[in-house]
Amino acid sequence: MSSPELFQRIVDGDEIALRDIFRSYGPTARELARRIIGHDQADDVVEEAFLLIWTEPERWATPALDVHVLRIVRDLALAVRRRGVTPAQAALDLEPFPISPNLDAPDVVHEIDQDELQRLLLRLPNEGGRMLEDAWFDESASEDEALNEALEALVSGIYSGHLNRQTQ
Amino acid sequence: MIEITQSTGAYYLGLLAETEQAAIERQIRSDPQLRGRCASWPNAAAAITCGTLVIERGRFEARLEQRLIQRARVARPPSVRSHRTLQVARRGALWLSLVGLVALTVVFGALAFWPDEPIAGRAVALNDGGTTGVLMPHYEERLFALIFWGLPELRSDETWQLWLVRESGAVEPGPTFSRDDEGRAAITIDPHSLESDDELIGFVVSRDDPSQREDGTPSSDDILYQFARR
Repeated sequence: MSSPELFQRIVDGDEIALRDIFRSYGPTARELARRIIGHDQADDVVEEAFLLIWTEPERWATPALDVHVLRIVRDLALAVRRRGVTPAQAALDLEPFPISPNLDAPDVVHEIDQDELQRLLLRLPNEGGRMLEDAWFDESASEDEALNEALEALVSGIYSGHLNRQTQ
Repeated sequence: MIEITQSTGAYYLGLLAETEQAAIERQIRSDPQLRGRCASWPNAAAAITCGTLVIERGRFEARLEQRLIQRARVARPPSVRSHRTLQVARRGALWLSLVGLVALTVVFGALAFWPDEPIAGRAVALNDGGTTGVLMPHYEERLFALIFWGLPELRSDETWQLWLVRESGAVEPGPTFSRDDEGRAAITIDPHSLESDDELIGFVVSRDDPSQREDGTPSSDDILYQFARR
């Protein structure tokens, strides 16, 4: 099932679609939450993230569900860590990231080869991969221009086709 | 080449203070070329997760999925059934209608027998197979009562299990119960046992094999329905 169809089913209130996206993106979302706040609260963060999408899908997501799920989980986990509140409390104050992702980009969870992606991050010049990792998981700021270059290089790699699963 | 504002990357990675964030957002929204050049940056940010962490691809634990679905049903009751369940629903429609009539007759009968005791009951179809339930939160002012019709027959080692769903998402075991030969069952619960800072928001009924439970959570994914308490 395509992402637009799956997203539309969520908008329509189809519970099976909620199960489908949870099974599809849940394991990745949980690892992300664990990386940021540890095992104890990770499951609660993931649950809150999916509930946000389920309750107000058109506010919190678009058909690029991979990007939205991971973004919400990351922002929620960081808020829990920063403020020392429960995931449910953090979810009350969370706002969606306001700029929509590219709907034509490959699904980062299912359509990109994870090993190739890892190699790409390691090869980014000036330790760009490390910079992005620190920024994404720990909100550690680096020099602005270097971050811009690292993100551009990562996008370029994703679109190069070398990372696509089907080409492996 | 469009010049990228210095803090654009930091903006997409959520590293900026509120005021700076608002300024960069305005700039991105007002500049189509800049927006186009950065169109895939949200995707790239999400990809950092997959390029950094080792993800176990196995299926999520059933209890987590079950807990999510229970909370989701309360937060936003599902309005669409899948094609799979629609077929079953069509087959069960006639049977459900008959059971519904019986249920309404019994509810109105109950009201007639307790004229001074207002009963806030409502008949709810619990699945597509004809099982119906009535939740009576003020029965005899002291007890919560749940009455079921059309419960399917279980294996001899299974029981029906009631679960109490709290606002936090916690799910506590309530009483187990059996049906009679005609698929009927009634349960009463002392409301004092329901009191908690973590408010009760619903009930779930599931098939349950007590020997298979883990950590006090339901052993089965086969949940009939969640009654929202309100």
